[in-house]
Amino acid sequence: MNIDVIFQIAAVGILVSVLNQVLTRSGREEMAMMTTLAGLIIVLLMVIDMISGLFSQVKAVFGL
Amino acid sequence: MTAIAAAGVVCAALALLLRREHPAVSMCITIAAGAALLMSLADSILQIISVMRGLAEKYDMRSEYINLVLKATGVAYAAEFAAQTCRDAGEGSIAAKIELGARVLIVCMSLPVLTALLDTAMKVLPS
Repeated sequence: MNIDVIFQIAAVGILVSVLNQVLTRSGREEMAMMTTLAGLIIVLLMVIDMISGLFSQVKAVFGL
Repeated sequence: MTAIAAAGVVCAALALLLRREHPAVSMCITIAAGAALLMSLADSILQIISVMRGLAEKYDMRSEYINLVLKATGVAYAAEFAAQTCRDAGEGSIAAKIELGARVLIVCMSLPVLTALLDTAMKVLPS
């Protein structure tokens, strides 16, 4: 069970939150927003990989 | 089984932790957790399906019927996963459309069997 991916996604999320707070407090709002966006894109790429794996398994198992 | 239960609870806790700050990342954790849990069940599901096919062979049921049942189950399952994910993200209307799509597809898939059944019934009834 590849539960490591989930922990990586959570770690990216927490890291993005921390960086967001640090950058907002030091006044660089636009960098904070870009960091959030970058974190979101990374997480989406990881999830799309897993979803495509899941759906191809479903197709294989049920013969769709 | 306890691995699945524990992993599910830990992922729910992580998703809850990130929900306030980054609801999108929280949704991605939910999707990833669902996908990982289901993929870990794939072997057991394959075993069940092969036993079902074996029984169908033994009792001379035509293979297209059992294939239709399995395809319909697959479509229903994929739609349920997607619709529940949309509901968790607050998009109830998109979830409803996904479910409608699943219903329409299942009816379309079973139309040939339905017409065959009606033809047989009409032949049996004295007209």
